[in-house]
Parts: sequence; structure tokens; C-alpha cells
Amino acid sequence: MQKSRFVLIGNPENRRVHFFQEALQQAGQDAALIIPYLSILNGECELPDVLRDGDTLRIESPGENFAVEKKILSLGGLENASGLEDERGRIYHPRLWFQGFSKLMTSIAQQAGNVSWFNHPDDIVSMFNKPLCKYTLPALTLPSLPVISSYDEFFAYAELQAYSRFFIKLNSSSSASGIVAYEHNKRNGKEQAHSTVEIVHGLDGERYYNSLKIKKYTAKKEIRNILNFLFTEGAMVESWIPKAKHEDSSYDLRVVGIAGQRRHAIARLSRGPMTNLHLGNQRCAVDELELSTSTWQEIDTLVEKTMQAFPRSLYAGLDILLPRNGKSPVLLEANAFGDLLPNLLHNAENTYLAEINAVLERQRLAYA
Amino acid sequence: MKHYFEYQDSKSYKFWQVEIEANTLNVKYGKIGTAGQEKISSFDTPEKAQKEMEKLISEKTKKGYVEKTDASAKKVARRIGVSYDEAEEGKTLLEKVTAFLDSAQATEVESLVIAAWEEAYDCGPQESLDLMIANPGKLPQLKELFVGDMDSEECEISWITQADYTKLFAAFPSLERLHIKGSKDLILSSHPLTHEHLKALTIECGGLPKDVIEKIATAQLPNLEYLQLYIGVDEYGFDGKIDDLRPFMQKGLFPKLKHLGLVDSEFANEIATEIAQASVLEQLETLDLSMGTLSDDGGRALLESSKIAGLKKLDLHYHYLSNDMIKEFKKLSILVDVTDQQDLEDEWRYPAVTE
Repeated sequence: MQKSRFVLIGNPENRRVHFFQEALQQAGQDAALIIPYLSILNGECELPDVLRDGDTLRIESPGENFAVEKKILSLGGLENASGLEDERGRIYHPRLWFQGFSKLMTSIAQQAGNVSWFNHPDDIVSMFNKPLCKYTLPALTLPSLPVISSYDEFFAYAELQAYSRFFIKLNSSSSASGIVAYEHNKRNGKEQAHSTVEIVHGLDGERYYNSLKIKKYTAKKEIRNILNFLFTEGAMVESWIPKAKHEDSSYDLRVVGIAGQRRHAIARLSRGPMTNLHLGNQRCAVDELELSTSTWQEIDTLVEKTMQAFPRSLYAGLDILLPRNGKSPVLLEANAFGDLLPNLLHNAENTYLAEINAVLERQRLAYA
Repeated sequence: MKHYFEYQDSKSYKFWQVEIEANTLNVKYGKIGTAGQEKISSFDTPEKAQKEMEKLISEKTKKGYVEKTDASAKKVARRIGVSYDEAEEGKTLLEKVTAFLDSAQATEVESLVIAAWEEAYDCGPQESLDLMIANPGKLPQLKELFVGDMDSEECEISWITQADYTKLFAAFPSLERLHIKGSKDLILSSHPLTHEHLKALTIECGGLPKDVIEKIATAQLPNLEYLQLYIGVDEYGFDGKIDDLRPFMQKGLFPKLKHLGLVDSEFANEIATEIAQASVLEQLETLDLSMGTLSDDGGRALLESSKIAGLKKLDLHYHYLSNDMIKEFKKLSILVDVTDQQDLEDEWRYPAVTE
């Protein structure tokens, strides 16, 4: 029998690709065939020509490559996408990006033929779609709030609530891109919003950027502007539940589920409302948190149920909130590319090696 | 039945305590010296609670926790608060404080922490505070009081509404440590502040009002050893100037003062420059200028001061000092905390799909 070949679709220059090749070597496997996103998007590469039956195909993040971003936007229906300027961190049309990305995934799934997947393209699209995740896993996520289309509508809603603290998140994004932590003080009518969105007023209108420095907005005009941008692109509202605390910081967990099980986990500490590690927040070993056995059991169940909802996916990076009041863990989001946790080992494997070994195990079982 | 454990390594010094009462486990844990956090879990039967307790104890023991029987190490601490969902259900701090004062535990409590209360952005803890003030006999052991122990996950610090503490000082003459978080509507005392036994005073806020600063600067606190003031920014209530802080830089204002913290300031450089030459350094063990906008200007003034050498510790964490200056501070013979350097770069935008 011919040995299954590993194939990866990604941006070849990206560190994720290097980590994967390194892990393959550690596992005693041949290097993967790399298919650049760009060559697929340019039509230079037809998948049926390069893929063989029985290949094991991994789809990596298309991020951090502006040429790829433009092509995806164009696929999503943006005219003149090729003329966009490469401004680091600029948020361009998230709604169209997601449309393009979904189309790309669908076409990869259709063209790939008889391969086996790390994560199936359909699942990747589903995980990116936050409202869909919530709809699929209602018992594990925060309760759904009304779908809102503008700041004014949102404010009218917020004013009526007893608890007036919310997160507003783009429907399909990652890396804390397009997120606002909003609070309203009913006593004096003041509002405040912490956000990774930085707004720049230009002659040609507003431009929006992802900022590593969390911005704080207190002017209604600015808050309205940012929320209207997010709602126009498609955003959902969630209650802001106080997160558990470790020493002087609050935290949530990034847990990687692989082959249905909880594997790598790390706590992300923050003194502000957002915990993502690339925002300069500290990571902390989960042992330090001293969670009880029963909490770990609840987390395990949550991971297992989430992975069951994506049966064609080998792995996902789950963001899990532990409510401060001791209630059950909550799934914030599932990230199909959420396994980039360099140097974090579980059972002596990093995430990439653990995934590869899980694939090899799956193959052994299939041929046994 | 209560079991008390402690854990110590180079990074942490913490406690963990479990108490069983019928089918309920009450677990408290945290840094030693703080009241810590509390988690109460109920089980179907006392046997199940007992089993869970044994399991927890064995987990802690494996991690290196050591059971201590020394009761002197234990402070009887209590934390009372209203979580956001309790607030939604209509629970109030006043209810909780009322019930606590009537409990047997109140008579033993040395350390009391008031955490969050309902709609802290709208109303202060005045009624609860007044109830305690009216019933000092129910808290005969009270030595330490922290009012407003909540973080940005619960209430924006500059929105925390505080209360009038005037009558607290006379009602609790044995109080040793007072920590107040939030400065909106805060009145420390409406007449001159005097207290014989107060050893530690912390006001933690987004902006410290001038009248509170003045009240402390003119207070008679003969036993004060520890003073920590969050100066903050004018947007959140700070309406003073460097002049208002000068009294704290005079030796002898508080004869026993060993720790002075003038932290979280937008003019940390000015404070550093003035205090570097100030007589108060002669009596201090610790000077804390952390969490502000200290940069090399202020750092230079401190390094050039002849008085710094007399300190035991200089806390400058969260700062904008350059790498070169950090190195110079590390050469000093005293303990200097220069961790948590803030980003001096301007490259702060990031592409979205990175994580």
C-alpha cells in the first residue's frame, strides 16, 4: 500500500508552514507538498492535477499575506480589489472577505476529490461563522441576543437592559479583530468602549485598523462610528460576563481539542477586557490556576461536545471563558486555525506534532 | 472541619483552605496576606462533599502545598459581594451585610472585603457602611477593611461610586488597614481625620480628588506605616497638581511611615524628580512610583539622588524607561522592580488572521 502523502494549502512564507514541516520531520514523515493559496487563487494550480487519492490535506490560515487577502476579497465580490493599498492592519471589508473565503473553501472541497482532511473546509467556514457556532452549540455558548444592524438600534436595546455591558464582535473574524467591549453608565449616560479597532479620519472617510494597543473611546460619536462600521459588516452582541481571576488579572482559556479530546491548554491573562496573546497579554500555565477536578471535567465535556459538532475536523482552538461566579465554562469561539501555540507541549508533543500523530493513528486504525 | 494549606516558591506565596459543613464545601484561596477568593460548592450528600474534599486535598498536597496547623497564620477573613447575576436577581449588598453582621462569624472576622455591589456605577455602598458603623460591637475584631474590590471585568474603576467614611474612623478605633477602591463621591472624612491605630491606607482609583489628598495630608495618623495613593488622571477625577503631593514628601508627616506609593500618575516624572531630593526618603523603606508614565527623565533624577541608597526597595514596574536606564537601575544595591516595560515602538497595527 502506498503511504499517504501530506499536502498543505497555505502561505509558504508563513511560520505556520514551517512549524508543520518541522513537526512532520519529527514524526518521521516526508515533507508535505505545499500548495500556495496564491497559486490556487491565480488559477495557476488546479487541485485535481496535483492531488492524489488518499492524500491527507491540511488547510492552513490564509492570513498575513496581502496578495492573498486581495484575491479573497475579489472572490468575495469586491471590485478593484487588486488596487487596494497594503496598509498593515487595515480592516478591509470583513463581510466580503468572509464571502470570498467561504467560496474558496467550497471550491477546494469540491476539487480535492478523494482526500482525507485535517479539518474539512466546510467545518472551517462554520467555525469562522460565530453566529452559526452559537446556533449549533446553544447550550455551550452565551445566550443569543437580538440581531442588531446599527448603533442606534443597539443603544435602544442596551438602555433597556439591567446589565449594560456587552461585547460586540464581527460575525466572522479572528485574532480579536473587530471587537468592542462596551459599557453604558445609566446614572450619567456615559458610554465607554474598549476596542482593538483604531479609527482614522481621512479625507476620503474613515479607515479602520487592528490595533495591538487597546483603544478606549468615550465620545459617543466615535463609539457610534465604530459600532456602525461593525454592524454594517455584520456583528453580533454578547453579554460581557466577568471572567475568572488569577491574582491581579482576569483570564480565559485557549484549549486545543485534537481528535475529540482536550489537549494543549493555556490561560491568557489580561487586565483589560481582551485576552488574546498577541495583544501583549501574558500567558500562564493552566496548572497555576489550580482549577478543581470538577471544573476540568466540565471543560473536557465542553471540548468533546464542541468537537462532536465538527465531526469532519481533527482539531480546533477553543476560547473558553470561566465565569467568575463559578458557573459552568462557556465556549466563546472555535477557531479552525487556533492551534498556533508555539512551544506549548502536551504529552511531549506540540500542537502540530500532536495533530500529525493523531492523523497517523487514524490511518493505522483505518487499515487495521 | 477546616484544613489550611500554604504554598511557597520563588514566584508565589499563597494559601488554600477548605472547610466542610454538611454537604457544602467552602474553599478559599489566594495570596497570603489577602483575603483571597472564595468558592462554595454544594453536593447531594455530605459523603460526596467529604470525598471531593479529600480529592482536593490530595491534589494540593501533590502540588507541594503543606498543611499548617498554626492558627496565628490564619486571619479570619470574609469577602462579601454581589455578583452581576445576583444583582440581576435583585440581591443587594445591604442584604448580604445585614445577614453577615447577624452571623456568629462576624464576631471573629479580622479582615473584611466588600467586593462588588449592585450597580456600582450608579450607587455607592453607603447604607452597608452605615450599618457597620452603627454596629461596631458586631465586628469586635475588625482590623482590615477593603471596600470596592472589583476589577474592570465588573465595573470600570473610574465609575465605582464610593461613600462617606467620616464616621468609620471613630466607630472602629482598632482598625489597622483600610483600602478604598473608587473615588467618585468619596468623602474620607468631613472633619479633620485622626486615627490612633491605622497602619495602612490605600486609595485606589482612576483619579484622586484634591480634597481627598488634602484630607490625608492634614490627617493625624501617628501609626501610619503604609500609604498608597493612585493619582490617576484628570479625566477620572484627579484635579490636583504636584504641589498637592508635596506634603507627603516631607519627613515626619507620618512619623512611622515606611512605604510611600504615589502611583499611576501621568506626571510620574515630575513626582520622581521632586521626591528624589525629598526628606521623606530618609524614613522610607519602600518608594513606589509604579504604574505611571515614568520615563528616562524621572529615572535619571532617581538615579542621581543620594537618598535612594537608603531605601530597601524602589518599585517602578510598568514604566517607559529605556533599556539602558533599566540596566542602570539593576546595578543599584537596593531592590528595584523595573519589570513590565511599556512598548516604546509605534508598530502597533496587526494583520487580522494571525492567531
